[in-house]
Amino acid sequence: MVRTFTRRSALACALALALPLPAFAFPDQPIKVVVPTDPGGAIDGIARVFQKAFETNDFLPSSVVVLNMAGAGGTIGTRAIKDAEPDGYTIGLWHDGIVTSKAMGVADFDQTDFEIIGATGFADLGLAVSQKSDFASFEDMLAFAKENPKTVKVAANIGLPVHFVPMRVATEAGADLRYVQVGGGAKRYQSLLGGHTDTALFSTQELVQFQESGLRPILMLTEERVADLPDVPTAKELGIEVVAPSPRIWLAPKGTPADRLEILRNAFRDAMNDETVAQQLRDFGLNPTFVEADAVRNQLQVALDETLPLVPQARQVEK
Amino acid sequence: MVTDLFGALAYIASPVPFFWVLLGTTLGIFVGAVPGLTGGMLIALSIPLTFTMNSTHALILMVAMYVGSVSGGLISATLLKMPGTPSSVMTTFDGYPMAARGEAGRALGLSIGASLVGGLVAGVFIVVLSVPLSRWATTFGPFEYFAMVLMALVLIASISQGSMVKGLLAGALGIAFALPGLNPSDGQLRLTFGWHELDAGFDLLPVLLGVFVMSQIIIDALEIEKKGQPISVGGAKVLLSLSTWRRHWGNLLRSSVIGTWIGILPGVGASISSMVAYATARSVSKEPEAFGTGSEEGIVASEAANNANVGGALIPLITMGIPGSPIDAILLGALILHNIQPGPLLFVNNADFVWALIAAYLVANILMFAIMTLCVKWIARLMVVDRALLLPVIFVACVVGCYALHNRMFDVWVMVFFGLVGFAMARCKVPLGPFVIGFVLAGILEEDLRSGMQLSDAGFWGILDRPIALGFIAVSVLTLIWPFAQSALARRARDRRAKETTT
Repeated sequence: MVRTFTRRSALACALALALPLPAFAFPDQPIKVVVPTDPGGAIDGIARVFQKAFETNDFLPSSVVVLNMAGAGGTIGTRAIKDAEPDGYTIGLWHDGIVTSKAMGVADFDQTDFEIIGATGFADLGLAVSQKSDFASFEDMLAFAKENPKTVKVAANIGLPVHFVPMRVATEAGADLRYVQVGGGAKRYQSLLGGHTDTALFSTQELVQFQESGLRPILMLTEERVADLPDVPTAKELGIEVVAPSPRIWLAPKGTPADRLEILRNAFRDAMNDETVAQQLRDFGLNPTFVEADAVRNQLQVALDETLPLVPQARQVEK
Repeated sequence: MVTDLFGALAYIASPVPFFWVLLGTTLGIFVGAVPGLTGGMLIALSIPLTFTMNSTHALILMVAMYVGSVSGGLISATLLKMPGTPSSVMTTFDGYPMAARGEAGRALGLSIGASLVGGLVAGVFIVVLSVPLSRWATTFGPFEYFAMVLMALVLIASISQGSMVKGLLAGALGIAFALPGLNPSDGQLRLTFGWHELDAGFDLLPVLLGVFVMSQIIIDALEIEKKGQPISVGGAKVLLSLSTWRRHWGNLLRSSVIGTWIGILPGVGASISSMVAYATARSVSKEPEAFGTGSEEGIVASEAANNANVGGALIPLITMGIPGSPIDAILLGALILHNIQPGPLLFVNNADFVWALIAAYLVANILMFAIMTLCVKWIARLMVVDRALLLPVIFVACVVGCYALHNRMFDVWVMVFFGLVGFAMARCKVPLGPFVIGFVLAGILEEDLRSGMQLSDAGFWGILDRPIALGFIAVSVLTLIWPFAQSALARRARDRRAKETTT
């Protein structure tokens, strides 16, 4: 008796699951956004801009919760996104570090192991020196570096984009620099000011902020000059073919249904058309344009292709 | 500088910051007074609760807790003969005998007053020293930091309570647990055994909560029946006359300076401060035989020094990002979690924040004095609160706090694991302070050493170009050798004397 009942209800459940449920439109429950950093950073801030936008407007029918999962160069968080149920209810935000983590062998996955929703803008990057530095311009520094290999010291976070991007510039320009583990943006700034290292990579936002307190931006890795720093030349102007935008990429687990991804994409597009959101993103030093998934995929592929040949050199930083 | 300080004091006097300082001081005094609860516990537990708070509010709250907890310990030390916090151990030696012969009010009054003076003297040092020190520290490169941290580790090992071997063992164990995870110096994973949960290593917060809180919960739970019978304060006057203080001013000043200085030395906690100040007070006292039987001088020395230590230890924290004591290691973690980069540039980039911390420290000392003087009788009654009611709440807070950190269960298991480690260490009488300091400093030590080696082709020998770093190394070597040299010298002197007597 009991058994038949169980079987019958099991059958009913199976049938119910097999049937399409048009009544429950995606999303009908909160969407988890995994942020692979601690609260307070730039990436976390961007996630919260969208959380707020989805809360106050009707770009998305359900709310968004931000889950911070920092650690191991972001791979704790990105791994959690990758391994989540591919139902569209877990997504995440990350940047081009996804490429360098794979290149360094810290993660055994890269962007191709995710569905890419798109990028909500990108940060421009550039190199700076201390205002007390002997190098008046990037060309000065380059000329010196070419004559004296391994003497110009780059403050970096080994194995992350701030390490690989300057290395791409140096390789492209034909110079050999010395890379020193220093840490995050504030520490790199401190190291340059203390005269312990010569140059380091920063985002435009950091360049503008630190310019007032002792740094001199010398090179932008952008297609065109940046409005906030009109006097700083781009690498391209100097014949160095490195354009390294750092996109803010929204990821979903592989196998997330295409229609759900499209709903999310539309929500992001709508949010970015909102002037308040756009302004908040600009405050984070981002270009507030939605970058489509294909473009993001191409950018990341280029970054990966240019990073991989540098890995043997990158691993040799240690004496 | 003076205008900065007054601006910050005005900020602390505004309602919301004042509320946090008041709350922090009160809670600090409470956990300080209840044996089995410590300031380290309270502050570690507060970190996750302050995630969403404004970072200035969060840190002034924690600094106030720190001040309160170091002071609260004197109540249970005096009335229960149980140090409420480790730093009030020395106060039990004279505070309790005094209270036992019916002078509880006077003993408490002396302790509270001495705490205030110690705190304020250290405050003067913070105000005067921090800016020049942080300016000097901007010239510090990786080798200087490496050498300074190395000196800190050696100092902890040599001055920590109990045997040097156990101190070293605890420090080494702390360093060992800091090794797994992504190694920043070469961007590679280390000792994770393919277990991805361990890719980020053990996080500071679960380790702290485990070692300080979880282990204490286990210890307290095993002795849940144990209760003290406090001596009643009665109607005795706690506020003492100025003439009493005039008699003690030399001792007060000396002990405060000792406390501040030991606080500045990285890695040495408040308990060492009060021990050194107590020993010094006894050696210069006119009646050294009174120490241990209810000497007023002993109480004053111990309490002035442990409060001064709090202030002293804040100096290396805010100027260099190097924790001066285990609790400062927790505050360092809190700063980082609130996205504030501790170090010499804190004064340049977040001057308002630093001055607010300093002002909160000063105000917390004054509030501590006011609260303790007015409410000591009621706090004395809280001391015997049933721990069966407290422990489950604290345990839940630990679990939630660890989970909230990275939203994963792994950190909760790490906390439980380190609770067992801490419990085992406490059972074997291995000190927890060096463990935590070793855990915190290992990362800084390694990263700075390797950064220094990456700076030039000379590798490690690049340190020969850095006189300040060499100076720190020399101090470390001397500290290591000194005890051995001292005993060797003493032996030789004894031998000579023995020879002289035989001939």
